[in-house]
Amino acid sequence: MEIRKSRGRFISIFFIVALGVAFYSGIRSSQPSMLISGDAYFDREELMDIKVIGTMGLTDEDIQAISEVKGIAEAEGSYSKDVLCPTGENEKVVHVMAAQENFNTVQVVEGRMPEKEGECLLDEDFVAYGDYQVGDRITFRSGDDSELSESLTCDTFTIVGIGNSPLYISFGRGNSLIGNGEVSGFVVVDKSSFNLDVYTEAYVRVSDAEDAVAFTKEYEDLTDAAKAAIEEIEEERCKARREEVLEEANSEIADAEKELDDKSEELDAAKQELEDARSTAAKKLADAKKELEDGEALLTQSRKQIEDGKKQIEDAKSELNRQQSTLDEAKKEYESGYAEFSEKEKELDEAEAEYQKNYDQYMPLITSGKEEIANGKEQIEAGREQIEEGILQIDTGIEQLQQAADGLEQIDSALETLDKLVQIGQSLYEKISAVPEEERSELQNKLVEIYEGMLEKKEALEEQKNEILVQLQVAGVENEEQIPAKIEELQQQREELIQKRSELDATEKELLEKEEELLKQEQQLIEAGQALESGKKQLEDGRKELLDAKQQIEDGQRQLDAAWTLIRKKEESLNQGKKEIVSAEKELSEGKSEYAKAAADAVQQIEDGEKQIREGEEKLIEAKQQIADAKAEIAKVEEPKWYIQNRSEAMAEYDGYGENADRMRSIGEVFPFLFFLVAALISLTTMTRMVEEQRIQIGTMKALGYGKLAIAKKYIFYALSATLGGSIVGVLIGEKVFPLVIIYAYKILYKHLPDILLPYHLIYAVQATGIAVICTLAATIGSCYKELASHPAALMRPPAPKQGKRILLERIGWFWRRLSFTWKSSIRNLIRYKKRFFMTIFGIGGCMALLLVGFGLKDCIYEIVDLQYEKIQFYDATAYMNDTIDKEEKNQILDELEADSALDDFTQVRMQKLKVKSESDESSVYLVVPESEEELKSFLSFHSRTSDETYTLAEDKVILTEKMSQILAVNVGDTITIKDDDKGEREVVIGAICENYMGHYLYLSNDTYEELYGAPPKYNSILLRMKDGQEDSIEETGRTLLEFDDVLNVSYSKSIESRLDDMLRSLNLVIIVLIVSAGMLAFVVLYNLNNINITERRRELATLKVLGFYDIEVASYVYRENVMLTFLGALVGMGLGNLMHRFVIVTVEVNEAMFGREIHPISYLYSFLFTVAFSMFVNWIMFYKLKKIDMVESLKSVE
Amino acid sequence: MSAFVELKEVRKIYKMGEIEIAAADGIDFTINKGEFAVVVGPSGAGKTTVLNILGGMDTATSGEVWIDGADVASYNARQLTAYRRADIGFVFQFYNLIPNLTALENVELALQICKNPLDAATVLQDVGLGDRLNNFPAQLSGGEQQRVSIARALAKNPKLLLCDEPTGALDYNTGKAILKLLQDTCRERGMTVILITHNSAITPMADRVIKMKNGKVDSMTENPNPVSVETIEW
Repeated sequence: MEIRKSRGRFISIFFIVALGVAFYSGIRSSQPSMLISGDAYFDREELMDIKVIGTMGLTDEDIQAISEVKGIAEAEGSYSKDVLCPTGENEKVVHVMAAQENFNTVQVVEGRMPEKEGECLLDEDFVAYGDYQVGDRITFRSGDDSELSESLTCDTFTIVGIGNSPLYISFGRGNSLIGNGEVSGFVVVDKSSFNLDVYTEAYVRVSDAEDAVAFTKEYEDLTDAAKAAIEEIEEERCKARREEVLEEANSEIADAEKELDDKSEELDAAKQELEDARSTAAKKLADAKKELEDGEALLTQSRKQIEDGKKQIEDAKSELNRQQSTLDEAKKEYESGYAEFSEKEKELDEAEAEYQKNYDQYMPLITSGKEEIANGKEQIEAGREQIEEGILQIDTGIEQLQQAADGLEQIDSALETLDKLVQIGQSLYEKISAVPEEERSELQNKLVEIYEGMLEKKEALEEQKNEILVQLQVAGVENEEQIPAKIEELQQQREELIQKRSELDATEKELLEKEEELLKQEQQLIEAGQALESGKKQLEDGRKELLDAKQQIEDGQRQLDAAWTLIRKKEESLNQGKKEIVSAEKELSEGKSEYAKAAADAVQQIEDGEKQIREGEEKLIEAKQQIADAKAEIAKVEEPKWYIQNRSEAMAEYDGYGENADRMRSIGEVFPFLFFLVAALISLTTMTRMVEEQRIQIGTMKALGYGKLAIAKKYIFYALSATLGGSIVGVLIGEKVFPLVIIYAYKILYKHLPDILLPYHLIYAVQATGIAVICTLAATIGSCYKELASHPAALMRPPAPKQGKRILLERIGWFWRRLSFTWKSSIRNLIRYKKRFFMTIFGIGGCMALLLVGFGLKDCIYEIVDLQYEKIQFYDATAYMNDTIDKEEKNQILDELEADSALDDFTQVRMQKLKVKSESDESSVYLVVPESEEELKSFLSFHSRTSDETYTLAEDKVILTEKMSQILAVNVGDTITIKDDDKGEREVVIGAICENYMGHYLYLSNDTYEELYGAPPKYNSILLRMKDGQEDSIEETGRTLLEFDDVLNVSYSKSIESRLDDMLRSLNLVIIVLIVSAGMLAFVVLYNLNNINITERRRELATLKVLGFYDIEVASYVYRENVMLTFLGALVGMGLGNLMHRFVIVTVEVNEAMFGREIHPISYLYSFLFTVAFSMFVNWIMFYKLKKIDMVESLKSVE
Repeated sequence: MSAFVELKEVRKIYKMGEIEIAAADGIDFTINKGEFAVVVGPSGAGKTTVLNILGGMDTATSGEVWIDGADVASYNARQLTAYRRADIGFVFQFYNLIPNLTALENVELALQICKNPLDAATVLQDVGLGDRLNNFPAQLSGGEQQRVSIARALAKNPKLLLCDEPTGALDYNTGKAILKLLQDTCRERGMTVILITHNSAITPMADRVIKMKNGKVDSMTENPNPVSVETIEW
């Protein structure tokens, strides 16, 4: 009920508690989560618990013995060897180890595990150095005096896989006695690739250790006990091993003695050989002399031969010249013939062209003429026929006309006769006609009949005549009279036709004449063509003749040329012969001098041989001495030793992981304090306010007889539910998010850690909740207490209003007077409500502090690269050489560097990684001994970080880098021990501690070194500094250096810088988490403050509104307080943040580096701006709440 | 004399769910410049609503509110704020002083927002608090606090002085003194004063009495001969 009414208040408590609990339980859980994640990884990969290294190796019996020790679950022998391996142009140290069956499972990233001799798996991190790939071959080289074949069966391996080993959880790969002392990677090979009789080390698993979480005390107790148990059998096993080795050595000495005997025999043989050689030499020399003389004779003979040859060639040459001239004549002839021929050819061509022209012109004419003539003939023939026909027609016409005329005449005459007869008959007829028919006589009848016949005949004749007339009419004759004219006409026509016929005959004759002419012309043309054809044939024959002639000439020339070539060749060989003779002469003279020299040599060799024999004899004596020494030494052989190492001793980065986890715990102890403090303050203010608001209610209940506890229960329940709710949310989120972010950030270092395990850790949840409950409950009870103690009557009255108070600031009149009244009121308010004041100051201060820590972390970590390479180390690269480098090669290197124009300067130093020990701790450093302290000054600066003091290498004293002095907990004047594996331990006094950020160094003057070790240092490194602006050519210089066999590797400051930059980038994540947390803190606090201020001053604000203040003026009246508190809080936060930052930076620092200590001014600004931004955001939200305040509130009575 | 304050048909209707409650149901009255007006009526008669509307703290649902020739009813929120700032002096029943400021500062606080204020110290002296200038409200008695409140209102040199039951939280004598102060202020400064009270006993001292009942003006009487406060007893 109450919760719903005052949601803002409840949420404030809820939220701040959630924040505090999340921070506390989250950061606290990071440690166990980190350990559990690590342990899960170790268990999964079967990481060894203990490693035993035997100085003389471990035998199968040793392994057996170890595995039988109480508390040991399992033991397995293994081999390893440090070798040099090329990586690009550098050479790095790698740790070659045998693949184990039951230990240290390698996670194969690519490819597979090595299965047989000659195969290997490469370190994933190392692959980047050398640009190796699966399938490549890799060749190792021994880094010390021993041969590689003593340990490995071969020196070249095929890479079959790339992977990670649980033995190496971070970048560090440990130290080595070879190369620059730093192992860069590991290589896993099959056991069969090792060529050793005994194991170099053994891996041991401790019973039950798997169940314990690594790094915890439980685990360490288990392994320590196992270690102690193994130590117990060490002595016995070592003794056994020693005897075994001694036996071996003794047999070796026996072998050596035998060898010695062999050698002295050999020496005797050599003496004999020398004698023989002397006599053979004398014989050989005599032979040589004879050979020389023979040579000379041969030479004279050759000379004569050459002389002859010369003469023959001269003769041949003159003959050839003569033949050449004959040939030239023939050539001339041929040329003139050819010219003639060409002319003729031209003529013929012309004639042909003309013929062609004529032919083209006339032939068609002839052809058309012929055609015309034929046509004419035909026409004539046709004409003639027509004429003949016409004549015939005319003749028939005339005949017909004649006939017709004759017919007509006959008819006419017949008619005349008839007419006469008819006239006679008429009269008769008329007489007869008068007689009647019956009376008529027969004659009479006859006569009538005749008469009638005559009439009929007349009619027929007339008809005939008419017919003829008609026919005549058709022929164009009108009547009978015209017939003769017609005949005349026809006669005339016929005459004409005959005329025409004679004309045709004449034409025909003409045509025939023409035809004849044409045929003649044709004949002429054909003849001309034939003449041309024959001309052509003649020309062709001529041409063939000419070609033959030419061919002949050319053949002749060729023969001549060949002859010349031959002669020249002969000449050349002659010259060659001459040259040969000259060289033979030279050879001969050389032979002579050689002979002289050989003779001298022979004498010398014989002398040498004698000397060698003498030396051999001396050596024999020496060897005898050595054998004697060895025997003595065997007698002195020390007991072998075992190094029994637990994980933190055997693994390079194991401890670091545990330490990093511990660091998180210490951070977890500090940071959340702030949140809980703020949580307590928030609870206090809100609960106080709540109790005050419900004063009358409390009074009433008290008056009704409720007990104190019963009344307080409500408030306690309220606070408790907010706290518990917040705690649950805080734990749920915090224990997941914070460990995740932190472990994720640490994964830059431990990138092979496969999984992040984030279990809930109940203990921290309970702790955090407990603290939160205590804080809020104490605050609640504190705020109830006063009210519960008063009398009900007093509670029923409104509280005596808090008195306005003058504050100290008012004494500063000039300042106070300048303030406006709202300012004055705000300032007085601030001071009056102390709880709120502190709550806000701490809240904002905490926000500012968190931001500062975030930005400061970034500053301090990022700046170390710059500081290191700009203020401390000025060199651009370091070249590491093999310890075994000889003087000559070193001088060559130095000469090369001297000649490099881009190089500003260089100096030699001895650099060696070794261990240093103080009373409290032990760690590795680089020992640096300069050749010249004076020169070193331009490469390195020894100075104090805090003061301007600079240091120099003093006699008998060393300079140690700052971080190492912290690790070892030593100070100037303290003594530390340097542990050199070869040369033993030495004590030195620290003369100064210098600023340094990356790596650890121990600087020693060469005099001091000599004093300590009794010998001057061997300088194995060169520091290189390029000229300004030519830094880029450092890699070129590096490449030149790497061409020397004994330069192992060159490391560039620049590449270290960039690698570090990459590593640090993920810090951004941590910074974001801090910024978000800071924002939430600021929000909760300011929201709460505003909420209280506004509810409490509702009346006051309403009054201001009534007085005519604009919204913005009212808001600024409230904000003024926020702004002032924000500024004050930021100021406090600066101090608080600075303190926290100092603590955090030292805590998170990794062992290998020292981080900067100072926060940059710009980070103060950023943090401040962020804080202001958060504050403004809350104010912006509040503005709307302010606007909603009703003016009518001002009229209400005081509650 | 023209009406300095004139309300015409002013209505204020509150909606409570589906029920409409008319706090002011058509109020009409006028007050002349320099008059001492008393608005009187029982609780719930609509006095406070009138006060709120006159004071620019609330707006009428309908009707016109003319103050010195301007219709306040048509003002928007910002204009209302400016109106409160410049034209109105407000005297609260519970004084409403800023507890963190001294008497003088409380007066000055109001002055910093208006254009031609009077001198704070003088006004405080005028209300009889010349010697308590630097005391905080908690150090003053109720009457003194009310005097500071009046001084704060007067110092703004407003056109209209609105007093909401100024004697409600005071004892008889102190209340009388306060009323006297208000009456004197009206007389001496020619200030138009509107006093809202449920105590009808003090009506004789007013130039104009407006009686309210059920959200309406029951009666408005002009009193040609107002008496001095001292003579009134209740």
